[in-house]
Amino acid sequence: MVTPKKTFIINGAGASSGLTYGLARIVYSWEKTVGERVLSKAEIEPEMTRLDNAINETLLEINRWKKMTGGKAGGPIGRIFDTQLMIASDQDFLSKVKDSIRSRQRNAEYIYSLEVEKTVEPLKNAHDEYMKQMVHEIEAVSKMVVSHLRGHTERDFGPFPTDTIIVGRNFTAAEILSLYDRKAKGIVTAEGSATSHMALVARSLLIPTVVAAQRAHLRIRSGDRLIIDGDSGEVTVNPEESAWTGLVRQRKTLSEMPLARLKRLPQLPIKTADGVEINLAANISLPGPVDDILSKNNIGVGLFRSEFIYLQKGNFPTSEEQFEIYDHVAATYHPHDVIIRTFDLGSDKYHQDDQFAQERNPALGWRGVRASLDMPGQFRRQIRAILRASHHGNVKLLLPMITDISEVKKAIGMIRRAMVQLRKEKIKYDPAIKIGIMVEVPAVALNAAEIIPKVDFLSIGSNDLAQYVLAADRDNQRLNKIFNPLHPAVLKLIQMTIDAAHAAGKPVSLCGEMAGDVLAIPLLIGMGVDSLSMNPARLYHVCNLITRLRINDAKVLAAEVLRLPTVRDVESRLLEFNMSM
Amino acid sequence: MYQKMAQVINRLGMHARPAAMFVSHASKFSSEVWIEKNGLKVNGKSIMGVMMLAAEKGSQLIISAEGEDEQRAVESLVDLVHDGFGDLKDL
Repeated sequence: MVTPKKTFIINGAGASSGLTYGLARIVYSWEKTVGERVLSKAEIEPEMTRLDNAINETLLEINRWKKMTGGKAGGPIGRIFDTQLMIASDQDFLSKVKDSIRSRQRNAEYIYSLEVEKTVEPLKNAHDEYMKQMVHEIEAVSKMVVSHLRGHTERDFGPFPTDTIIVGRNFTAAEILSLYDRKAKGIVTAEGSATSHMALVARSLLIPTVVAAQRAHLRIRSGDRLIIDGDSGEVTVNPEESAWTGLVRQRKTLSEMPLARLKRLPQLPIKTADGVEINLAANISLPGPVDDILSKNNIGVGLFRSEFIYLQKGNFPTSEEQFEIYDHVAATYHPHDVIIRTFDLGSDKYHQDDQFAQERNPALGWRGVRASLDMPGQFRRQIRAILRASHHGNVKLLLPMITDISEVKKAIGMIRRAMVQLRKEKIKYDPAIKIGIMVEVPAVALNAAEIIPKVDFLSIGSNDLAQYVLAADRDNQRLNKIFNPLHPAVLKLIQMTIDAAHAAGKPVSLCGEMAGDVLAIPLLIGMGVDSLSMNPARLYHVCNLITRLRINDAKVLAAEVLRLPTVRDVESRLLEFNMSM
Repeated sequence: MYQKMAQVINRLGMHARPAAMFVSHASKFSSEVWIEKNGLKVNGKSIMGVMMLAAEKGSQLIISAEGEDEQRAVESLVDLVHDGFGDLKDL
C-alpha cells in the first residue's frame, strides 16, 4: 500500500483570480548555476562576438514580447519591455562586462551574471516593492542573455502535461507570457507580490496565481497534487483524497485554462432557450491578450477598473498615459461598449505607504468618487483622457462609490467643463457620452428615484452593496457566514434599484461576483437586470447556463425567491432550480 | 564641468520608470553625464548604473556633466528630478 503524502497548506497572496487544481511542476530557472570557464588568449575576442550576438538575440526576443502585448499602446504590460530593452542595451554596463572578460579571462555568461549580481546587490536590501521590482527586471534580462549565450531560445519550462501547475521561486513577465498558448493551469511562486509585472501578466492571461507562498519551491515536490486559490492565496499540497476527487468531479470544467475556454465561446449575443437575448460583458483591469478574443466574440467591457493603472504605476498616471490605454481598449473593443469606471481607490486598493492607507475604517472611508472630487486636478486629467478616448470607441463613464446626488452633480459639472475645454482646443470627443453611477452604497439604492434622472445608466456593485447592507467585511474570513450577496435584504435593494431605473427608462447592469455565479444568474435575469458583467473566466459557464434557461421560469423563480425569509432558503431554492435545469 | 544638487521627492523614489526617464533624458545631450549618491558615482546614461543607486525618496543626488551642453543637461535633469518625474500629484 502506498502511504498517502502529507497534506499541508501554504498561505501566500492571491495575485490572479480563480480556483484550480493540478500536479505541481517545479521549475528552477534563475537559481541554475552559471558555469565558470577559463579562456585562452585566442578565445577572448570570439567571446566578445558571442556576447554581442546574445545581446542582439535578447533585444529581438524582448521586442517580440513587446509586440505581443501591444507595445506602448498596451499600457503597463507593454512598458515592462521598454525598460528591459534599455537594460539589455546598456552600453556602459556591456563595456564593463567586456573589460572584465578580458582581464579575468572567463566566459561571457559567467562574467555577465557576476556583474549583474554586483549591480543588484545594493538593491536587494531595499524594503520597497518598487525597488525590488528593479532587481527582478534586471535579472529577467540577465536570464535571457545567459540563455541566448547557451544557445537556448526558449526558457526552461519545456513541454508539460495539461494539468500542470508551475511552481518556482519567482518568474519573469516574459516567462509567463511564454505560457500563453500552453496549458499551465496555475502558477505558484515563493517570492514576488501581487503588484509585480509577473502577476500583471498572469492576470491578463487569466491564469490563477498565488505569489509569496513561503518557500513553496522547496516544500512542494514535482508531481504533488495542488489546489490553489488565486483569490485567498491558499495553496493546499496533497489534499486528502476525498477533497481532491470531490473537486475533480465537481469542477470538471476547471480542467482547462480559462483563456483556451474563452476561444470556444459561442458567438454573442447569447439567447435563452426561448430566444431572449441576454447582454453579457467582461470586467477588465488592464489591457491584455484577452481583449482580442472577447472583442471577436462580440463582448464589450462592462467594467474597466481604471485604478489598476494607478496601482501598477504606483502613482497617478498622467492624462496622456491614461488616454493611450483607454484609447487602445476603446479601439480594440469597437463597436462594443467600454465602460470606464473612474479611479476607485481606497478601501482594499492602495499602496502600503500612500495616503489611502492611513484610515482605520477604509471601506467606510475616503474612497472612489469621494477621493476623486477632493483631488480635482487628478479627476480632471482622468475625465479628459476618457472623453478623448470616447471619440474612437463606444466609451461610457462610470462613477464609483456615489452616496448622494450632490456628488453626481459635481462630477457631471466637471465633465461638462472638460468638454468645453476640449471644444476650445478643437479636440474630438463623444458629446453624447453616457454617464452612469455604481450602486454600492445602500443610500443610493434607497434613493435611486431621485438620482436616476441625472444619469444614463446604473451599475450594481453587488459585493460592496452586500458588504454595506450586511455590515460585514467581505474579506473577513470569520464573517463568511454573514457576508452573502444572496441575502434577502440585498436582493430587495437590487430589485428596488432595477424597478426605479426601469420606471425612468434607464438600463441597469450588475458587475459584482454575483454576475458570474451560476446560482444567482437565473434569479438576476428574472429580476430584470439588463446586463451582467463578469470576470472573463466565468463567461463560458454563464453562456452554457443561459442557453438552457427559459425567461419565464426565471421570472417565476425571482417572484418566488424575493418572498423567501432567509439566505438559506434563497440558496436552497436556487440550488434546486439549478439542478432542475 | 558643471554640477548641481537635487533631492528625490517622488514617493516611490527612482524606481524603474523614473530611472528609465532619467537615462533617456540624459542621452539626449552630447555631454557626459554622471549622477552621484552617498559617494557612489555612476554614468547617467546607463540604466543599470542609475538603478544601482536605489535612490529612495529624500535621497540627495549630485548631477554633473562635462561637454558642450553641460549646463543645459544638468539644469534640465535637475528639473526632471524636482518635478518628481511627472509623478507629482496636486493635493
